[in-house]
Amino acid sequence: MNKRDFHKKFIPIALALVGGFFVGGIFLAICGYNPISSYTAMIEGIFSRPKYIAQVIIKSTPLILTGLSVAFAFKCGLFNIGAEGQYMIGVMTATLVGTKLSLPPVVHFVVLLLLAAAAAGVWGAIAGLLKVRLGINEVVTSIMLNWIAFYLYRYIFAMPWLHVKELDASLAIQETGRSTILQGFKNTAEGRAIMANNSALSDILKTDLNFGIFVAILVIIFISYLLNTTTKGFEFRAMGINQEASRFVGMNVSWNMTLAMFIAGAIAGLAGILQVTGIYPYRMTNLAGFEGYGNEGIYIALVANCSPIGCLFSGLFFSAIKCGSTTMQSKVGTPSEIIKIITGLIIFFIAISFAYKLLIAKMKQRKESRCKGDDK
Amino acid sequence: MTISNLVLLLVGTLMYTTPLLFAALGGVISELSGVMNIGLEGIMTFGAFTAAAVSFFSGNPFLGFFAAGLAGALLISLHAVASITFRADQTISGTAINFLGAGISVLLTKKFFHTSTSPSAPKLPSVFPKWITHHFERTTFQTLKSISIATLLAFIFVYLLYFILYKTSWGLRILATGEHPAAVDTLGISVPKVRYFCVLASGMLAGFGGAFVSISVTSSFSSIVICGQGFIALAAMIFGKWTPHGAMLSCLLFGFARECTTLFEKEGGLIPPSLLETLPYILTLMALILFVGKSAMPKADGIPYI
Repeated sequence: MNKRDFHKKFIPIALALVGGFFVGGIFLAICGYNPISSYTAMIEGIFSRPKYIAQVIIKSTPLILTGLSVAFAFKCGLFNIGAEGQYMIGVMTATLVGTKLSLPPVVHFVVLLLLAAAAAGVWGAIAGLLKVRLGINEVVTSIMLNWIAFYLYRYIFAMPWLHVKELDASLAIQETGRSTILQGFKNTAEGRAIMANNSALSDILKTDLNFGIFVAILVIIFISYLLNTTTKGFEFRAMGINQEASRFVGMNVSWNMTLAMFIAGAIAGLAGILQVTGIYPYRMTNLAGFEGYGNEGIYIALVANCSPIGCLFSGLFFSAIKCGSTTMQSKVGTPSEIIKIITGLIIFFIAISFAYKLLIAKMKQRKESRCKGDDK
Repeated sequence: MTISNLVLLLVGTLMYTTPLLFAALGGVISELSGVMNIGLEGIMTFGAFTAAAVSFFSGNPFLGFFAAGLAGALLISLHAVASITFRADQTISGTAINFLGAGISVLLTKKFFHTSTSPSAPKLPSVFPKWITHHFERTTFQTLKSISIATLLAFIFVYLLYFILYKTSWGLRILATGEHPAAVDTLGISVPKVRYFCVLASGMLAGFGGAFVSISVTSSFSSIVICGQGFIALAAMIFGKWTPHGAMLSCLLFGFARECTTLFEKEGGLIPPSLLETLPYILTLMALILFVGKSAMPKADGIPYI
């Protein structure tokens, strides 16, 4: 990417972020909350302690991955509104494999990861297959599949062989299947001694430290590689830009579309897998409604302009303001819902900013054509 | 199956259908004019909040209902400006509306009522006047009185929209704008004007849908009352092939399945409740697979007209 391209992509997004917070601040002021102290508290909630920073990174993993799932589908010309359902299928399968199979440490996690990602992928591929075979819009099928996944989750959750009544949660995933880092170490005598001496380290170790973020980064690298350097990736992108043309030159669009939805589903499922294997209590919890990661994936993909690497940063950013907002609510009493408004505003400004680019391009064009007219 | 059960089935079906129908009709009119509307969920939430708040403060549910329509139109005007004037990507600005609607509603609820649930507000009256419902008391038909007047309004809107779209020159303009805006433009009709009108109408309808949930199904607003119904309405609109009557049928199918689920649960049976709850969604999928086939999206839907 050359410098000018970078500016073109980066500036509208930066403007949208500033605009979102600015208008959000005005909104806060109208509602009688002090925007400056609210935002200060939010920033403190992100950076002021090592624990907070670790928290932001840990909580960004599912956001990055659902964002990547939606972004990848967008690149292929598909709208994956079903990340929510794929996420739940991921959590569910991971819990089943994590509790019911007994395997050696690393093997267990890998098997769990592959099986659960495959299950979520199949869940996503259903929408792709129905679109390809019967021409049914993937948005409808995905919305229906989300709800089916939700009730399936609740059904499996309540099974007597999985449900623990006292906790109203499922059995915990065995330690061999978890993606945690140093969680065992911090309870040993040696670990406690080290933590007592190093306050920053002990602060970080108190969080649900896990290697989910590294998996997310690996997946991002894989998807970028797939899209930008492989033949299959080229076919995916071609399908996203012009389906008819792809079909015309002999690409197997039907198969590619199903495959793309499989991949998108597997990535969203991965978000769920890493969440349940990496975050305490390592169990399925009782869901009253959607957790919302699917919807969040949509805006994370949009802010990232559907670039896989962009998803990493936009995921981190939104994870940061989410974490910051909880501190804000507890410290100065500003409702954390303001985050939703700010997010909405940011997305709105991004929507308009693309138009600004168009306008600028058009003005330039007009100028050029006028100059040419003068020459004649 | 007794008669009172059948009556209950009818009443419940209509109750689940109405909000979806309002929102789906909103989706239909917007998308037929060529503007995708993925923001139905947010508009419904905002409508539900406005209806509950206005109805609570004024004591007049009708005022709440119409305020919700107005609020819906106000919120969606952002989407209209973005997608029509600024030619934004309509998926993006629609998503923005979803977040804004949810965020503003919950924030204002906390601001006005200091809790996350609004206090109980007066509800919309029954479609039957008092002197008729009086006769229903203690008969098998007594549940009929809980059919809301807004339900009737929703079905009137189906007819109205059908009439406008397919029987008047206005409707022809709207349909043509969604199929081939350039042709409309060459005839001297302003494409943006038609689209603005349709999108604002869509916001109003979805706002009514939200209002129905908060001041007819329940009597208060909280962040979970809408709970995905906007997306179901979106699906119903696509399922109904972008026509008002198609949307009505798919909403009725959905409402019927929902109510069946509720009734079966009460009876208790072989199928565990959480699996039963998937019935409406599986039924819709099945209907899509068996009957619908290729969707008939308006050709210029989602494409800004330059």
